[in-house]
Amino acid sequence: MSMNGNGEKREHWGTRIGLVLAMAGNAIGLGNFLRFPGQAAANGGGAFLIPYFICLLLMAIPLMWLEWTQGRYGGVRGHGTTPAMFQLMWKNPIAKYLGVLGLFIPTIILFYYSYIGSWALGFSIKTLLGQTPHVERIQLHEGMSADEISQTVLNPYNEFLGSYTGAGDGGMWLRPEAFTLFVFAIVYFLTLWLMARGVSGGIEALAKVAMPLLFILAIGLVVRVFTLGHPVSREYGVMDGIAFLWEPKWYVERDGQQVFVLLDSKTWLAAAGQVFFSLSLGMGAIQCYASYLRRKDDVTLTGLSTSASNSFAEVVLGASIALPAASAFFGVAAAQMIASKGSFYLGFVSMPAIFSFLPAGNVLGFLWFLLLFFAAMTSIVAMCQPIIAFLEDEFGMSRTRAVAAMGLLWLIGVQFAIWVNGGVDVYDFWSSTFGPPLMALIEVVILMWIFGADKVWQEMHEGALLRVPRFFYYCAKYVTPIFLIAILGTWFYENVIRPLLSGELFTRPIEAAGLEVGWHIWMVRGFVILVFLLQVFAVWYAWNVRKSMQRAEVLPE
Amino acid sequence: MNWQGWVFMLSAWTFFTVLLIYCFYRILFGDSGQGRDGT
Repeated sequence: MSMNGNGEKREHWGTRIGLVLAMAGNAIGLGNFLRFPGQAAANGGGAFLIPYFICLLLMAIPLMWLEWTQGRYGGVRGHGTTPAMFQLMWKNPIAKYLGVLGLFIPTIILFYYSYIGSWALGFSIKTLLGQTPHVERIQLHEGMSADEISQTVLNPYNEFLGSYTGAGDGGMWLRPEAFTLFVFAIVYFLTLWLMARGVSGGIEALAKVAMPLLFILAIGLVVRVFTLGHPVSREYGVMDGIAFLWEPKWYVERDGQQVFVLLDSKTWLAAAGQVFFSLSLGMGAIQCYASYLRRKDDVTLTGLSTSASNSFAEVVLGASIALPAASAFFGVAAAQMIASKGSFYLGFVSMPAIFSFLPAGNVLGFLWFLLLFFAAMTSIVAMCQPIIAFLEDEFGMSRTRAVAAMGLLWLIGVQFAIWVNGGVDVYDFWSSTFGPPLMALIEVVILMWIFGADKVWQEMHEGALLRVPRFFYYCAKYVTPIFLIAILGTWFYENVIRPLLSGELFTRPIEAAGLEVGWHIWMVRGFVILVFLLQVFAVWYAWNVRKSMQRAEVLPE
Repeated sequence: MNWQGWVFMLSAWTFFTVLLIYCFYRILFGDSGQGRDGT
């Protein structure tokens, strides 16, 4: 029987379906509904599915199984986070410090993702109450260019989003509405309440309600979008949007040149990135959830179920709502413009405009944002859990105290996302773009090369309901690390070597194009470093001070 | 939409839908010792 740090029995998931739904909730987030369609549209449409599928098969699914296996291995030994898991599998003292990434990444993601998730709840309330802008249907007509649509139809919604988040005025600081802060407070306290109820009573209970509702809402919206027909012009309709997304474009434009999509490194990176981030790999969150399994619980079938749920949510559902709806109302050229402006523009600007033109648009808009909120909420709790598990397992804190400590850190960290213009970009880059591939590479090396591939394979098949083909053994050992090295190498070349050669390394923003790097951005970067150092210190303290004190108590001189 | 678009869309939809149904069927009704209600 595994114990946590204060000698109490570790919690377990109540039911396997609850675990699968919670894991699927961890993976399915805003990216499935907002990021995937934009990525597919920009990288060859249907042709994007080829690199997407190959990355899923050769990198993501093997990684998913490895993380589940590592999580269960740590959990049955009383540890739910990667510092201890790495240390268990690699006796070198540095291992636990490498595992800090599995605390750092979810912590930073929590800081900004929870705030963005609260926008979805805020927009759902405002849409239901009819407090979003209303553009007269007559202003949208046939023959409008993408720029005209952007200026006349979408601009009021863009300004509304700017006012909600306080980004409308520009400058270094954001001035969100009081309502924005109030809604965030609801999300904050709701999450703390759920976390205090525990893994089974809080996270699992939420997933059992939110995930079926999420799928029902998404299927309902897909049906509504597919029955839009030609709402504005006979020249274009919803099928043009579907065609825009699914017809394979074998050549894409890169720096003014036509490049064969399957030989284009940017397309492969986009596919790898989408698969990676949408499955929440390399974050430490999957290991943490898997640590609440019992020794003989299956990890292969349940791990595959998580991947299947996530890919179904983005390929079947996510691709069939926002972008096809935008194409139906605004035409393919405008939909392309909307997709190029990013996920927020697609979800929070274009979609409310579309709903305002539909009968019962308030209700449909409410359901759309509720769907996004459920997707976000099930991921927010997954980002909270590693910090809580670390405090419980390594510091022996009670759950209530661990939740309170996590809540305090979260409350401090979220301030930079709320008030600093560009704070979200800084957080997003270091936690979601840079961190996970590095963390995943460390994981694969520790598991398959240091701990031992054969031991991992044996461990993975303890209680397995699905025999994993041997093909994936070689994939996880050779192909997955090569893939990850390629991702990190390309990132390093694009972000360090190339700017260094062109003399722009210290002048251009690393985190996002157009980011104005003033002292406010350096303040956020400084805070990110501080959080990392704090967690390194916490690991050092837990192993070197606390554990030696415990040993002294157990073994009197 | 041209035939290639239909092929890509229907193949992707079929693959992920069948995989999802297979996984959930095995989890909910599979004949494992772990049972339906306990992990």
